[in-house]
Amino acid sequence: MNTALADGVSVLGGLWWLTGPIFDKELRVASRRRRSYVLRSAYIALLCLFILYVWLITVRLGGPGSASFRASRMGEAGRRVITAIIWFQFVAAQLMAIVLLSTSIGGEIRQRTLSVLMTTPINSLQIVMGKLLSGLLQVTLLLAISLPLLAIIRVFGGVPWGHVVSGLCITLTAAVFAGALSLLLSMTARHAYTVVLTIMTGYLLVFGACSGLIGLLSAWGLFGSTFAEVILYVLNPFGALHAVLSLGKTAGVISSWPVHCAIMLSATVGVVSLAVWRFRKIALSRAFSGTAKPDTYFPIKRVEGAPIVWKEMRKPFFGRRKASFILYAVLTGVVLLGFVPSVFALFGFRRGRGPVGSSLYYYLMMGFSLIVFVRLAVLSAASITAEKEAGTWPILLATPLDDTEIVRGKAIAAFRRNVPLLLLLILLQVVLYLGIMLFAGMAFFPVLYIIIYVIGLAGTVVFVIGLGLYFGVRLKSTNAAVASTVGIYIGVELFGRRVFTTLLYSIFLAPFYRQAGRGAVLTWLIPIAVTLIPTCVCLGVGLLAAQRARCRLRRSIF
Amino acid sequence: MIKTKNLSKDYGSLTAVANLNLTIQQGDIFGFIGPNGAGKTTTMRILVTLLEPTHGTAFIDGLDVRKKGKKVRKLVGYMPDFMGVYDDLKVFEYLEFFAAAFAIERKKRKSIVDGVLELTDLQSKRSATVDSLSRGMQQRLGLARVLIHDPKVLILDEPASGLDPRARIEIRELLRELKRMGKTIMISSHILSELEEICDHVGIIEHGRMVFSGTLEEIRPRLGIESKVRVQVANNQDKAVELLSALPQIRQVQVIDDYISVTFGDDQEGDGIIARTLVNGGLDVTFLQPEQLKLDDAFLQLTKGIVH
Repeated sequence: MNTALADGVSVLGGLWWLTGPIFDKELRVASRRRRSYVLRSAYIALLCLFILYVWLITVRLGGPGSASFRASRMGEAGRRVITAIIWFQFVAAQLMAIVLLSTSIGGEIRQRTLSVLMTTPINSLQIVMGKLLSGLLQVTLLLAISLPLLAIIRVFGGVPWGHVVSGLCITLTAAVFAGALSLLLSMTARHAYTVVLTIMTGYLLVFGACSGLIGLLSAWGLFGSTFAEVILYVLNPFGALHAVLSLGKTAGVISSWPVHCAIMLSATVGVVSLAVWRFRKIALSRAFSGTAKPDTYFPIKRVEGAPIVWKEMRKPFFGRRKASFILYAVLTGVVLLGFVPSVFALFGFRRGRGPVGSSLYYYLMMGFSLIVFVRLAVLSAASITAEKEAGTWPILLATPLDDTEIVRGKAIAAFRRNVPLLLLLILLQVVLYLGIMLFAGMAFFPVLYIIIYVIGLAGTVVFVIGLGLYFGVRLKSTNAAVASTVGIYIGVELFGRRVFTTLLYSIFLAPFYRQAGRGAVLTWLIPIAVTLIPTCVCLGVGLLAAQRARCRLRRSIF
Repeated sequence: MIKTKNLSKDYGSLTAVANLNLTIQQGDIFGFIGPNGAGKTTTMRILVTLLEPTHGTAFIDGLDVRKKGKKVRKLVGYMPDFMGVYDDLKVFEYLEFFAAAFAIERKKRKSIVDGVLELTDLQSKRSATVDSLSRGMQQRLGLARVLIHDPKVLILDEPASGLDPRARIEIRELLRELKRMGKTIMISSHILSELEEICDHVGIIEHGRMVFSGTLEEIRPRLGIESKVRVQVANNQDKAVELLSALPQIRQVQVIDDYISVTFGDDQEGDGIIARTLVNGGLDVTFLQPEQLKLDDAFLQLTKGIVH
């Protein structure tokens, strides 16, 4: 289908001058990859699950009522479902554009095909555009899949077509921009996951921390509302989509979405131009420099303890490469720029500053924990696949090291290399609880919540490391292993846990909760139990995945 | 030291190794030869416990590779065809890491690493990062790694591929040194002339089947190859041709430029008969050399499926 589509697009658009044979080749290859079909199936499955979940909590679990009352809620359900689908697509399309294009140039360099490509008459523009458009076509196909769903759900009423169209346009331009950025970074980054992490961190900094900060300062009266609106709703795709889907709550800015789309497309043109301009120089220098690098001075370290742990811990926390250092410098920037003022905002509750401080802090916490766990996933998955890619895996397995020793060593090292970030995460959570405690006027510090949080964190750590090791063993490339681990982590963290908890609470525990009465001890034990059950599930799945990784360690060596 | 019994490995419908029977004695250098995709690497991977055979089994020093994997790995030093290196590790660290992986005590590691660095002539690269080494140096480092736990058996998959002539000669010398140390070595290579010079035995494999196993001398009768002798006389070449053609042991006499090429049956004394005949006929023999059977020739003949 892809090939036919490519032929059609090429013929219709006369795109040969723009993409050369690259576009055609990329689509031909993509159509032969099983993962393309797996990705589409997983996307549809997730979308359906998500729609089911939103529909359930809106209509079925919305409380008792007559049939006419339920019917009246259909409009509300339709609005919620469409909003949810558009948000889902907005996040998923950008993520997929970033992941699909993160290997576009780096993959050619690793397979040593770029130098051959550069000896042909194909120019830089054709290579860049061929890669970009083929990646984006895959994303567009996924967006197109949901159109019939959106059309059906619109029958429920509640959402005008204009909102659907504007939402899709914002999603598409955001995906195009994210894809172009990913392609640009793939020219310099050694690994695809570096590209993904860099963009995620950059987005958190620019669209999260900076925008949040401006919103906060505007709420405090330090900025004019027009300036803040432009920053939040015109330049920021997340803000623009929020404004469009708010349906009148931010009526003043809804009409600005075409301006936002035009800005995003202009930014994309800028990024692509930069990529085309720099392509030949960067790509050739990378293609012919190989992996050899001059000796850098660092002393010889003697092997201490378990050799696997020693080897993994040998790399410094920030890495030895400039790109890694920049990445972590940006991360520190996020923490400083985002958290420090938001802590003030958090503690400004009692002085009547409004809830904006806590929500900013909460979103920053989400973003920061996402980065921590993505890093954990990268380290655990890449610890095995990087050995496969480097050709050291068979050598390691030809030593008398036990399979358990190898898996345990990799898991311990992945955890230990993330300990500073995990401790920082716990500290930030303590600060959040402290702010809430002061706001709520609680007389005691909620130690129990901190314990529950740490237990939850431990469950997620085991889950991510276990999955990372499993995919590292099962898959050959680092990119595939990291993408699978991160994809499942994000799916479980953002959707799975929430769906699970909501369904568990609504179906099984709510009736019991109503019967027990508000004064019963169980009324505060139940929420704890509801929080701990998913944690136990994560813990179990993580341990099971690690066990499977150990069992399969010698099955996919080559 | 190495023995396989009806060893087979299937990848779905593709049979990579089929009923392979092989015996390598202790202290031998065994050259494993075959075209690309013949099953050499698969066999080696089974021997070092990286692959499970579909049928049959293999033994290293009497230990079944299927059942005693960990013990076998302690006995064997394996160098794959593509030797990967760890980024950001120095040569000493790389070797010490594998010393630790082979459970060598910490206090002994330094002297052992220094020893193998000396043996492979890599002392000057002790503090260099592994990925900054040239291809030849990396191959040497691979050999150093293989030797770190003093294995009885070395299994080397194309150790000289991609090396320049000097580096190849150095590797060959190193292998000779290892043979003197009593190691049993199984080596595969595409550069057959090199194996010819160092191997005691060769095994030729095609389509996963061993088509020949033995010494080079044993190949000739197996192939039915005729002995040839090249002769040059100082005077009267026509008379020499006439004398030689009259001999009953000789099948063919051909004049090639100023040489005479004489073909025998399988008579090992052919060169003696020629010398006597020509001298007795009053001719001055200036050059006489039996033509050696080259491993290349044997390889070409055996892998064309013409074995009787």
